[in-house]
Amino acid sequence: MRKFIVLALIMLFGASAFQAQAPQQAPPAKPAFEPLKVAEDWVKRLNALDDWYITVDGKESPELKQVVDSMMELYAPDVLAEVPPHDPDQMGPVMLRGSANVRKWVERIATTRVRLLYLNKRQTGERGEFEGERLVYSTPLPWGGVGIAFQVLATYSLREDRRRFTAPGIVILQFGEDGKIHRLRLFEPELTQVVPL
Amino acid sequence: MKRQFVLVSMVIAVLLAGATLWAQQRRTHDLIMKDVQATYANLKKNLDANNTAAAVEDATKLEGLFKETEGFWAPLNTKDAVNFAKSAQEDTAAVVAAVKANDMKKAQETYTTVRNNCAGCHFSHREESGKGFSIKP
Repeated sequence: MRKFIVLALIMLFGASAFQAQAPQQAPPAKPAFEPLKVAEDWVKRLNALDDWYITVDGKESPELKQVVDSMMELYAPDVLAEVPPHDPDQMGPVMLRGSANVRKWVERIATTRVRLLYLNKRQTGERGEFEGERLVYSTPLPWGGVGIAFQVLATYSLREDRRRFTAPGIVILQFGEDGKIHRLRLFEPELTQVVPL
Repeated sequence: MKRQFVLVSMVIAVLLAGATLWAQQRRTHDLIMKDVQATYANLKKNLDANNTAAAVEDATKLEGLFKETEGFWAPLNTKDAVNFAKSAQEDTAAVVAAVKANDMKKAQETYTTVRNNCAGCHFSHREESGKGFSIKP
């Protein structure tokens, strides 16, 4: 019995000593918010919406759902989006409330447009550079999170008849502290059809 | 009453069987395209050899294959592909007419215009994906 008590005490002491020596794990550092990186990611996922195929038996390939899911990963469930209209008769933007409605908009782009080419425009400065820089403007939001804005050149073709359109545009994204997009504004005024000369 | 019921059941069964058969008979796009490729090559050989009977047979077959291609694209919201398939049908029909009229020069000329439809459609809807060709919407 005495031996058992001594052994138990030794084990208890050993365990507490081991615990004291173990380094305290710091909480994982929150990745820094990089406006340029998130802007590029948004554009990349938007351009990927036509990266799907038709199967030999005439069905949409599973990649369609994947590209839509990939875009939707960026949005919060309560996202509010103001986007250009699809209907040529509508004047002004369309307001979408909630990720389910934004998903419908994303799916519509994926299924009705091809050869998507959204470019984050570059600007040359006063240092003599000729490549230009992609400018992404960012500001902390009063209620937390970060808002970013950047210029794009939006170009795409219609799946139905391959007519091609282009427009200068602005993208405004508001990210919450959860890293998700809570507000989106996409402006594409002056949409022009691209015609061969 | 019982007779009517039997009759209606029979009609439904026949319709269902017909629909199933029709669905089974629709070939996949890759098979249609392989058939087009082989028939198109044959047509050229027969036109070059002035083999009119075989050329008419090939061109008629091609016309049918392009009709099948049109059927593939019709439900897919791609007017341009449907138009390429329709135009190819018209061109192959013109080849048939020219060969029947013994106008082999015109048949050869029209033969090359068929290829323009193929090239136009492939430019928009065929993509090399590393594992062969894929169909773009």
